[in-house]
Amino acid sequence: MKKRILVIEDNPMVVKSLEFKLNKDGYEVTVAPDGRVATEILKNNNFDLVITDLMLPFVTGSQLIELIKKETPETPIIVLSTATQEDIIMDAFTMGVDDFITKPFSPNELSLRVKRSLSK
Amino acid sequence: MQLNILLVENNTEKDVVTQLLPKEWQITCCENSYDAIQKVKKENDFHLVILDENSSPLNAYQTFDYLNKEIKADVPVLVLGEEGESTIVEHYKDKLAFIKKPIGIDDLSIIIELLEKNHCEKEAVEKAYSLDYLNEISDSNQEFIMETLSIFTSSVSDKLEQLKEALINKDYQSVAEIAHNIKPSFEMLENKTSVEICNLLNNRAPEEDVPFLADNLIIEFAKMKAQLENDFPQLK
Repeated sequence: MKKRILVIEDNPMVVKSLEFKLNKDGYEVTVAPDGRVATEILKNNNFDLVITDLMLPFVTGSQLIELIKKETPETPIIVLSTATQEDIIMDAFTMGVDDFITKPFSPNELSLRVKRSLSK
Repeated sequence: MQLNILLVENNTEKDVVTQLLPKEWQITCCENSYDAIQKVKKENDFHLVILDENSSPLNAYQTFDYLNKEIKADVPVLVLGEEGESTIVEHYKDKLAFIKKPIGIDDLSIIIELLEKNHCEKEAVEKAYSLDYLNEISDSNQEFIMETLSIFTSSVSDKLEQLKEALINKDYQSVAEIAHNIKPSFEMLENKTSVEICNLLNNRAPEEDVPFLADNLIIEFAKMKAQLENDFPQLK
């Protein structure tokens, strides 16, 4: 059975690339373009991994991480970030995220980090 | 790039055009197509003439004809209007372009393309984008690349419209957020100038610099869009 990954990201080009690469790697991908949609999806679905941006419309990435850690603490989380967000990344780690990937991601690095997070 | 634009004032899009064009471009206004001809004749240093298709006493196409055939001014003409004379525009496509009103950010790429054809040969050769990253990520999957390019042109264009709106409202927080959002799109097509501008806008550049930076970002995007549409006509 395919592992299920939720991608929460509001840049459609990044979404398209993540979706393409993750599908190619054999994962089932669900996309949420903002924090509000992600919250709704998370209410009714379980995922093996969540990949989320931090600066999202309506509900921030940090709020989503808090929600996931409360509802399904075992779900690994990878944060998508830009190179200029060190302080925000550090905050995310203190909230318990498992890893981070810098946008735009390297395809091999993405595969590796996803595999590693799923095997934990 | 310092460019001199001659704008015929009786066109109803004057304010929109003036707002759309980068601030560093010199815009000279004149009252009608007759004045435009006189100005070009006298000064002959305009890079582009913009006028409405129904300008008077000569309409836009007659003015274009007069400028290029009678006084051999060798200046490109941008026509704004409702219908457009597609046969004429196609025939003189290196010198003449048409934009359907109302003019918007998306149309800036048409202006840049026309200017590059006529005045900026060097810049036209320099690629404003690269597909290396998209090729790497997809193993050169053409369907993926075309879909992603299409997403790029439409999504960034929408965001730049929002950025212009935010600038008008002096909402610098939104400007920063929009720049943050679109930065990865420019990174994926490896346009370093745009990435640097997004970084500056996202990291709270001084407020007085923001309009200049935003203008340059819009111009850079227009260059990319013009080149992409030239290289991949299906994106139009």
